[in-house]
Amino acid sequence: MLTRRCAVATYDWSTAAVFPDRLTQTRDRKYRHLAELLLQLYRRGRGRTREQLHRRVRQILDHDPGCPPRRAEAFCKLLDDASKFDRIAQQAAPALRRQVFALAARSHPLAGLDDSAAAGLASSVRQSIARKLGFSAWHEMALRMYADVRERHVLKTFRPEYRTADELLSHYNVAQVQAALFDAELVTVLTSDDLKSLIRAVKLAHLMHRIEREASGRYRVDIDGPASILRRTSRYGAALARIIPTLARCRDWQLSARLRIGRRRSTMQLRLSSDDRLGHSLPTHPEYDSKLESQFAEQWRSRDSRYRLLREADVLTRGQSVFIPDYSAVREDGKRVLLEIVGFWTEDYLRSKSVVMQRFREEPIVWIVRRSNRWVVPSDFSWPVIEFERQIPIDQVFDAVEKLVDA
Amino acid sequence: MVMDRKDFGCCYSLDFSGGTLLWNSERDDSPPLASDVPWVFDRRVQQWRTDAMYYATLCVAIRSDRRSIGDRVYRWKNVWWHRPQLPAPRKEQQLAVDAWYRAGQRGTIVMPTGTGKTEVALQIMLATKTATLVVVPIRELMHQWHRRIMKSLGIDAGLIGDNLYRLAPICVTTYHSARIHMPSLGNRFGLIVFDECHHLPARHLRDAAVMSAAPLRLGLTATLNDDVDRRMDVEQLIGPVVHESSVQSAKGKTLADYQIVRIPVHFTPQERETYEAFGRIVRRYAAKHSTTSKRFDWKAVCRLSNSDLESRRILQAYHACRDLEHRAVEKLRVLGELFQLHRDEQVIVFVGSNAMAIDVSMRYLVPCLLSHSGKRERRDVLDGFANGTFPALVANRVLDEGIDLPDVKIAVVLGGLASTRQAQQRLGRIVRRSGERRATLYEVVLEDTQDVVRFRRRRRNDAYKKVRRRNL
Repeated sequence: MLTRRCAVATYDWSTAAVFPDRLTQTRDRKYRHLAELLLQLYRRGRGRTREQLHRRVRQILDHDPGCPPRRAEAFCKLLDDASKFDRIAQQAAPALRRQVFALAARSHPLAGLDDSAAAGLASSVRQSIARKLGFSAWHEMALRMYADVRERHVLKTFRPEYRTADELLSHYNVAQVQAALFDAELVTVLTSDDLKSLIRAVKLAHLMHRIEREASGRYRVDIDGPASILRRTSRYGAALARIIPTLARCRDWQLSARLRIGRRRSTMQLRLSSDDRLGHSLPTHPEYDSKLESQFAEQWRSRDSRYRLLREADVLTRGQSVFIPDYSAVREDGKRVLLEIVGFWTEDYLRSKSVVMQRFREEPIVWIVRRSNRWVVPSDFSWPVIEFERQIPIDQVFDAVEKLVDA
Repeated sequence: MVMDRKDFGCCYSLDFSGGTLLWNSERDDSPPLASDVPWVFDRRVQQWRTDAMYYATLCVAIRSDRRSIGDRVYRWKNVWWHRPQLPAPRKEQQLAVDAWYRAGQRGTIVMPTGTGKTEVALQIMLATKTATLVVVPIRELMHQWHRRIMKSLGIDAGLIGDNLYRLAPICVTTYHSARIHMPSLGNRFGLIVFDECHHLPARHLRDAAVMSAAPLRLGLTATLNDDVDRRMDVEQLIGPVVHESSVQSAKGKTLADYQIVRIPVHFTPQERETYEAFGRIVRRYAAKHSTTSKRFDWKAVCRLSNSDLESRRILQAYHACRDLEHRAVEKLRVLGELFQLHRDEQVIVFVGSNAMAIDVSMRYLVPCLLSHSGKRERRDVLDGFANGTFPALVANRVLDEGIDLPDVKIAVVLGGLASTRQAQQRLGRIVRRSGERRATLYEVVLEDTQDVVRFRRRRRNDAYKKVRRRNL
């Protein structure tokens, strides 16, 4: 992630809207070439110091006279994040300094350099220290003495997760949205799809959510933190920013974030949607968690056409616990039945699944459970439980759905 | 009556959740106790929620409430000191400790640097015998506190910050780490000590106090905030000022006598030429804009620099001027003469930028402490300085606050901010009393530059008044 110092955004104060910096393929065509140059710089930059690399990055981006310095900072940060700098020289520097200063202390002060006699003395002291520590000349040692200062780090390897210039630009755009969200108090996402990955990201970032179903059938997820209810705080901004890469990989969503900007803490809005094609060159999530699930979906489609099978389309909530069954089978008249497959999983996962079954036991769900995992089902469970060994018995599932849908 | 909910099946309970408190009532929807605490009903979890800092108030309310309430907030335990080796407090320190107790074990103690604030805190920790979190502004201070606790109280305290996370009943952390980790640390300490607590009211640091449930709170500072709102904020977050003593009253008694010597220096003709060239660019721009817009200021230039090429160039010129001021050749030369003058004494050099710190270090081959110096190097350098191995020490801001450097009586300021607080804290480094030696602070000031303005501004504080001042 970027830091606040690299954030670039424009503000429309009349509509209170924030637009994080975005490099597009049409308007910013020339950046494709510049990004290519940046990648080349780092790929061939082995042996150069951070300061040299950054100076060159700034020079390259100076080809666009409108490029704000912070954009250059941001590129430096992104490229540095994918780089490894020489640790050996860095680690050796403090010990070298300690030796030098201890030796020099005896001849302190090395003062009066304008006085030629004293200058000669100082220079001979330096030379003798260098020789004692195994260097042939003073300037050679001087270079290494502060090798651990950030600007003087030497590039060793560069292995980014992006390979092409387009991917770097896409990475940059996502990073700028994240940086804008550092000031966010509340993020609202409207979506009908991929809710599971979103909620998972929310939980991983230790955030809290409220989920409501809108009249349109879409879900509205409000995301903030525990203390957000007590006062307006942007302390969860960095955590909120962490869900953006996940969201960028999802399909069909709209995001609006409430930000507090500047010294006056003015309220502004940031709006984004999947139509912005943010981070479109990032890899997308796999559609199915397992082969079993994808096979089941195929079988279902070939078996019957009266039911549409939607994946992870319904959300059940009890406070902060959320359960999104694997499938919703929707009949032509709109009536629906939920299905959940419990396949091959670790014991910890199954135990948590068992807790979920208890918590949501009121909900009419058809549970499809692998025979060896039967123990997760509570003994007095009132909804259909279908067992399977290798392949899911699609006919049995279908019968259970038929019975439940009219019940 | 405070009872454990598990044992007695209480119908009401108080929980700690991510730096906040949750009131849970199983029986009815009755509003939570203590009406003066700002509760908010949280629909996300169907419970009442408030900030953890109100825990002390709630404890009082729980005690006087007739219902059985399960308090599941605190997770701290008492601490037993095995081998405390703390010298008896001086009179002034004992007064401060007593005042803190009288104020209900909450409050701020204002004492000048060098009068033993740390000892006061250690005395209080020794007496309260509860799990304690000490919050300090910078990493170096964190390690220093760790050493002090080890030496005086015989406990290897935990450290949170500087890439470390070692939680222990006695723990030291920085303001930034405290802010980040308080949602998980807030209910683990009964006493929280804020060292240099004037930092706390900063908007992004307040959470370090707001999200902590610690009922006992101690603030320590040498320099209270000038701003009334910020003072009020400290009062709300920690407690009122319970004890205050000034620099003037301590000078010559608990503090060493000191003088301030100003040394004017000049740019070389070459430096002056470059400085003037950059200066002209800045002045021309400022003159043009301050006539067209009354609201012209530097902040506007900084803001504009992101989109406007001209502003960017102005800003670059401005920074070039600052850099020249901080790294003037003459300053380096004068420093050499001061080293000569005090060749048998140890000298601390304060500079205005990291680049200058490295310049000084390379020219005179003396150690320098930068903000990114590693933990081990800092300790080595400070130990080496304390035992006399190193004749001098250079620092930009690392040594500004709180670091103990015993027996140093000479400091040279080559550059710095206009802040009176920084000046006062820097002065504090050399005024610890040891024998009858008088301390001297040299201020090397570049004539006819902004350096003079900064020097004048930082003189406007109590510590600089009525002090022997000389010009060389």
